[in-house]
Amino acid sequence: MMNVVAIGAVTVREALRRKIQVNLLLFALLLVVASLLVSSLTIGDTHRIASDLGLTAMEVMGSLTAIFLGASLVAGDVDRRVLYPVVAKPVSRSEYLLGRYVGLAGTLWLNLAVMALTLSALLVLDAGSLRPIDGALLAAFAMLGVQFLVVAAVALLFSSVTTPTLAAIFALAITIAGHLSNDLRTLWHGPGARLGKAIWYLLPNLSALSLNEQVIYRTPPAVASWVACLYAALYAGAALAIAATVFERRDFR
Amino acid sequence: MRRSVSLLLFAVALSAGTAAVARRIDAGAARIYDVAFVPSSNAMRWLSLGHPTLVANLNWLRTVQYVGEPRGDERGWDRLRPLAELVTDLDPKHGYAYQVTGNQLASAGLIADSNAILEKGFENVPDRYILPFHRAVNAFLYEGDYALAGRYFERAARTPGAPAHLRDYVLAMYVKGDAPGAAISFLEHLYARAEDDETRRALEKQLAQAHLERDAARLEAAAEAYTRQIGVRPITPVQLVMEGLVSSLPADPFGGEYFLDEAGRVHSTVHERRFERPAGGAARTAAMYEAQGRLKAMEHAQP
Repeated sequence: MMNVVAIGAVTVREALRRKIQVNLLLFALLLVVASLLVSSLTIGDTHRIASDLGLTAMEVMGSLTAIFLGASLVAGDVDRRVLYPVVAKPVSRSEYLLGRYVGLAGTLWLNLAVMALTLSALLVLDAGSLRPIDGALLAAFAMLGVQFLVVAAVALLFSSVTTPTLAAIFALAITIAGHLSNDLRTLWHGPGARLGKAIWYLLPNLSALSLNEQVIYRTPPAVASWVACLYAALYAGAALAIAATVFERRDFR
Repeated sequence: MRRSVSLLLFAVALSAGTAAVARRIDAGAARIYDVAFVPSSNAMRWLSLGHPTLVANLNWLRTVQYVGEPRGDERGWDRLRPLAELVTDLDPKHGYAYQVTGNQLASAGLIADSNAILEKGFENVPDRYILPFHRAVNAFLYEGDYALAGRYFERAARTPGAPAHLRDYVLAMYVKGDAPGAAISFLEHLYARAEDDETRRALEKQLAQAHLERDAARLEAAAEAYTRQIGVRPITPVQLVMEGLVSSLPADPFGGEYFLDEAGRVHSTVHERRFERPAGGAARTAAMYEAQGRLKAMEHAQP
């Protein structure tokens, strides 16, 4: 356990120093601020535009950070041969992988906290009151955190088996497909419907982890949203377990 | 040093050239804002990657620009209904989108489109009383169908949170028989609840139309009296003043002057549009009794 925490802490420090992480975070903050400016183009309720665009900007940039950091974590260590001294120590490969994942999750949640604080401050500024900081908004932030955990697990899975570039491409493709999976199942009727259902089970259902609509209409999240959280945790766990299985058997020569 | 100065001068020369060419580019602001193509909502739902409200909101911003274009009448309003359908297909609970586009379509004379959007609105957002209210105004003002208007006013009045005086509106419409006067009251009600300048502008246009209808109704009644008295139809509204049938000629709210056509209907010299003639007295009386019965039942149900 201490090994996992130690590797996780190193991962957070490493990630925070990486240019891609800093650039993506700055760009995310820029997009969140821009969402408030764009909301001034609407008539009527500005909250719906600012919150929807802001949450989507957070989701996109957080997912990209998870993909690019996650894809290069293990595969990058293998490429740079940093991994060899680590696995030579009394640390199992699974512990190393889990430590990397914990560190990545910590980094993503730090990013999320910064973005969430910025968006909350902007929404409060726009409304002139604390009314926008309601249960729906806080639940949406939490749900984004869960979504990043799933994307990070997928990125780490590919990072454990292939090169950083390929891992990033595969993880990005799975993330986009994960956002489409619900529509895929809804629209896929007829003889191939079973195949559609199978793909739906295989892909992460990321659109179930978005609460933008609840934030726009200020409605409390449904029970299904918390079921989706449990689903996401199980999915991320399964992806990590597969990654660990493959990684344990991988020959680095 | 000399090299740096030369490069700086080169950069300044290129910047000046850029600015000179940029002035010749047809700027977006100079063109009338239009929407070339409205995609299908199914395609946009698929492309939204599970974020239909985001795509709805982005298209809502396009709709706002389309509605807010000051030269909208010159451009036409044929894309407004497809835009409204797209936004509300992707985000069916977007109540304000139904309200704004329904109002703007009515103001542009596209009454069937306005009715379709408003009806879709109160099916999807049943707690927004202003949508059936607006549909009632369309039925009353543009279609002259008092019975239908009464049913929609009742639906609006029954919506939880609707102002209590909506019931008075229903009665005013049937009992007073003062159609243009009631129309002005309804539109002023909508105007007072408008949340943006575009909606207010569209309502101001409709209010001007209602004022025109009220003036025209008075002048047409006076013209009928003139025909009965003199035996020939008046040629100009001035004759009505000379005979003492009206005290003075009202000002045309569109800035022109009133004139009488061969059929005895009053028109503005600068604004062609007139409403259909409303239902006759017998139809109105029948609708009144029907509505009063429903209102009594409603009052028993909602003390």
